[in-house]
Amino acid sequence: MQEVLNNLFPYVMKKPDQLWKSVVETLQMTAWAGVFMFVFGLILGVLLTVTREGSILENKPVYQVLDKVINIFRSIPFVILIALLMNLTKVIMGTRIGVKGVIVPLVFGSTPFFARQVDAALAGVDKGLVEAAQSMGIGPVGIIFRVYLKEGTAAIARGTTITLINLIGLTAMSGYVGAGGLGDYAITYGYNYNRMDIVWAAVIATVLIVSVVQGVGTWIAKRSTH
Amino acid sequence: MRIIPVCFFVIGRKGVNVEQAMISLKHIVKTFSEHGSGVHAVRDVSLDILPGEIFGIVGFSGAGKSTLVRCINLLERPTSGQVIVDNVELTRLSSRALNQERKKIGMIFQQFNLFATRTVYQNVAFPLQHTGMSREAIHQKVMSLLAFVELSEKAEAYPSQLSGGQKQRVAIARALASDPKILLCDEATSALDPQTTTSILKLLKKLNQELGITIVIITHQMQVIKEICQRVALMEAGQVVEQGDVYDIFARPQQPITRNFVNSAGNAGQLEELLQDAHVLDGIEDSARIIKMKFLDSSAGKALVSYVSRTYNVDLSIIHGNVEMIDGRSLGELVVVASGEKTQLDAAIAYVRQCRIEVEVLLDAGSAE
Repeated sequence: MQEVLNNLFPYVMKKPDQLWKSVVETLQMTAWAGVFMFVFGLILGVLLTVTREGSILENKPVYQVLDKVINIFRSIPFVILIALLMNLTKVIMGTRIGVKGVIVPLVFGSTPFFARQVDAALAGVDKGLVEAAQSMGIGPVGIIFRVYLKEGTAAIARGTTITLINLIGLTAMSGYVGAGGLGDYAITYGYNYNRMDIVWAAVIATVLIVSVVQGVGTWIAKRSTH
Repeated sequence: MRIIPVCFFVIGRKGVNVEQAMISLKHIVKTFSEHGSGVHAVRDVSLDILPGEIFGIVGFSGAGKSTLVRCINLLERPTSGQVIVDNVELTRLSSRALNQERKKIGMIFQQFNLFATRTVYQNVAFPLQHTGMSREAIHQKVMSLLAFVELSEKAEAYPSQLSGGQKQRVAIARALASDPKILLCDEATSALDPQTTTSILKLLKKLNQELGITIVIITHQMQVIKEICQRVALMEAGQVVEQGDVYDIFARPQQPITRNFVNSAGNAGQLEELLQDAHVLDGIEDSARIIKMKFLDSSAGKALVSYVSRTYNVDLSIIHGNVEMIDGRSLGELVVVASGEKTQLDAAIAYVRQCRIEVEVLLDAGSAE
């Protein structure tokens, strides 16, 4: 086994710790940014849904502002977003480099997309259910938690999976601010030295991570569908 | 100067006056504004629905009946007008107070609107959760409601595993959970087959009689009105064009749309087709008339046909007959071809009218020439 790996991935096996460190960094970035993205995106997505015209907390100004801000952030390429947010990152995290330095741009880069995913998921919740809950005298807060989020769980799980996989894609660019990760590993040690086995190792690791995320997401979605 | 005495008689059904109405809609107008142009869904509708009655609102789709029923619990806020339910003016309440009042008004829907991620038990428990009720109290309430709608054994099933009729039963149990005084039914049987419709209507009647719940039924099926309603309002283009006791509406429909609906619920429509069919009229003598008689209440019991035939020496041949029970009263209809001498026919018809039977001459072959 060791022999085979040494033959197939000579440069990877010379410094296996490097690969492992990159995997950990990618997971760290994804996890931290993912948690914030999930919370903020869920809040924004719910706000989009309930403030839309004809919805339970219809509010045109709030909806319009949210809609525009989300569109603006979605249209900025991630690499530029890192640069754009560097001062904010410094204020919030105390540094603008390393894993810490890339969390803020990752959150800004993925949250608007996730908000749209949540909005789309909640749009799939039957309006009749909202009406039924209203007819029972359930208030807006009850409708958000007990109808929209509960009935939209499967769709939100699917949206979360898509966004997390996107987020893993974004983490590949974090090498620009010295945060490491699998993208940085592939470019710095693979591409720059023309060592294809390192690039392949990064590909395989990424595919494995994405598969696990997809698997968990599908499982949750399935479990909450009846 | 002469003094003209003016008397107003306000007589409600069973002597109940209007102030005791369970639901009182006053000059309800609902206009949807779409891209500047307004759609008038409801135009100045006033209705009083009495405690304990089953009131039907019937009309074609787009007549505004669904919008009107949503104005009762303010799922649609009327553009103008007052909604008074159980002596509380809902249109004046804050949204918090309105939600309290809404618990008194249950509602069921054409598409059932059950929560797909919750079991039957959880669906029925839904309105009771977060109300400070204990878990055991909720359990008892839910199980007794499921027993009432005869679905106890389906407590742990999900809605997707139920038939349409069962889903509507769950929806009814859920609507009853907060002990409402009123149940609004928005096309509640329109997605069901005729047999299931009958069983749901029976259930509605049961909860009306056993629990004293006032029921408002929105439907386009006159059959539904005939089976369980006591009073009915007909809507067309956002307005109530005719209303009254279901029996009276069936016995003496005034508006064309009402006749249309009344015909749709029986086989009188077939009669009209029959009369248009030339062959039926071929064998009729020159002096014959086709006469429709309406027997209200117990008048159906008399041996009228043979008596008239003998006394006035006219021949009566029956081409259509029907007796229905509406709201516990009989409504009979008989269509005959009467032939004989003109004066005798006139006398016979006069006699029948004298017996308080409504006579309508559908065709007079004698006068046609």
